[in-house]
Amino acid sequence: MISEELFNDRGRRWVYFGRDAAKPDTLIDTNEYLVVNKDAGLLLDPGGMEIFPAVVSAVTREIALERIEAIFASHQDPDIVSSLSLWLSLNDRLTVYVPWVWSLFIPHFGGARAVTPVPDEGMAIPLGGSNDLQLIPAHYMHSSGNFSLYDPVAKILFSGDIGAALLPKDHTDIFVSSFDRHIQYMEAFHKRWLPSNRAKDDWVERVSKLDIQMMVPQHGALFKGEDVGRFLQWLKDLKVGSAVANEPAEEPAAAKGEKKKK
Amino acid sequence: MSTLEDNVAELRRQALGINRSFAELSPLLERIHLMSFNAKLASHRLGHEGLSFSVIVTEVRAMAQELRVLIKEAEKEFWVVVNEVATWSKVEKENRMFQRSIDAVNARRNGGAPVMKWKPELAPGVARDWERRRSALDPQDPTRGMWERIVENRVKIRKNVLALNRLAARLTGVISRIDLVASRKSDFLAITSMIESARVVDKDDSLQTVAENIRLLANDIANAEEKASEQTVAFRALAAEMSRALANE
Ligand SMILES: [Fe+2]
Ligand SMILES: [Fe+2]
Repeated sequence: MISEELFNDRGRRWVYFGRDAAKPDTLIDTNEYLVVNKDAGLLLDPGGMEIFPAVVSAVTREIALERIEAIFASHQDPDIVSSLSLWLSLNDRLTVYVPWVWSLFIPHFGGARAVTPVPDEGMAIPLGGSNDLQLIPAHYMHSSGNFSLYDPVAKILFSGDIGAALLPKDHTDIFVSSFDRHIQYMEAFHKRWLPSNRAKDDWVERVSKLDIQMMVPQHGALFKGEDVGRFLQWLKDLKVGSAVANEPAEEPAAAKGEKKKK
Repeated sequence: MSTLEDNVAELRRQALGINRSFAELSPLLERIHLMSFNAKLASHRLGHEGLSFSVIVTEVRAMAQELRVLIKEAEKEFWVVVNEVATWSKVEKENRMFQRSIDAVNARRNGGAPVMKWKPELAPGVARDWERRRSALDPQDPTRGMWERIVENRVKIRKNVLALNRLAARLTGVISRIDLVASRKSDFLAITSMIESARVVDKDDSLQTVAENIRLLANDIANAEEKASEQTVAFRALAAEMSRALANE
């Protein structure tokens, strides 16, 4: 698993983990992030159960595990946070921030204890004496309870599944090198996984007001500098919800069969 | 040498097998119940002559009822066993993940190969060995927390196996009561009903069909019960062997 420091200034650090070469092909590749303020750590979307060994071993190089104070799960998917019980087993005092919508679902991953529900409008996450990490509503992007996280110090936006790309195995660049060539890896995902054009426009408008140097998603390459703006513009123009929008004029075969049975 | 994980998988397989045998017994008891109504009618038609057959039928019905109660009891015990095995698998899985994590941390430190590749065997002295490794660790070592969980979890697993051992003994107790009722009583009733139906065959030969049915059902019950009984013995032996192995760690 590759680690790369994305930011380190004024006591704030961002570290990226991803491209786990040892990961079996049956699992989608994910990115995990560690945010450190002073010496307190916050893990963003720490990942699935199966990749826990790779993530925890990479994280221990950056911070002592006891220094990790909180976990943020952008939404409920297993690739986001099914490793939760293992993190809690190592440190039961962890604060776990999850969208309130999922606060009774995510504990099914194990750990059997309460998590901290994030209200729909978002909130600030305190970390090592700071209180500037902002959870930005990203509902229905793709999950019905979903947040992005913005750090005004590092000017980094952690966007979760938004901006996700499914990259070929030999693609080793951490950052997007050519936005136009990158579109092919993310177009199908955004069209199919994002359900609502209204929700998408709302999110684009919301984050467009932020000063973003880097946008870092949970899958695929990271966006930096002008590519952030390119991405937002591309997403704004994209029509999403393809499974419904492209619905064939004819009824799907399965539906027909159902009717016949009756 | 077998690993704890293999043993857990085997125990789970056996527990499910026992449950399947119970499931096979239940419809047989249902059939006995239905059949006993017809048998009662037939013996009543015979009047005084049918009296002894009627007594046998009442006994058959009582046996079915007794078996039903015992199977309920066994099933209750069985679910406690399944629960214990499930908890245990969870803890064991956690230990496996922590072990893989320690291997990964060590591999990173070592620039490639893990310092100590994990072998989760059930071997004497394993737990003491872990305890030694854990206490030899530098307090700052990143794997310390994981080692602590592993050692703690192993204590949990050991308690779990002891509990399972006790449960297996209880399950065996219930099964042997089922055995007593199912094989001895059903054999006895099958034989007496055959004799009794032969005695009255001149007056009513329909009782012979009934008696034959009782015999066949008694046979099926004895077979299903024997299977459950064999599986329970194997289950108990494995649980006992594991608790011995874990006590030796
Ligand atoms: Fe997702
Ligand atoms: Fe995802």
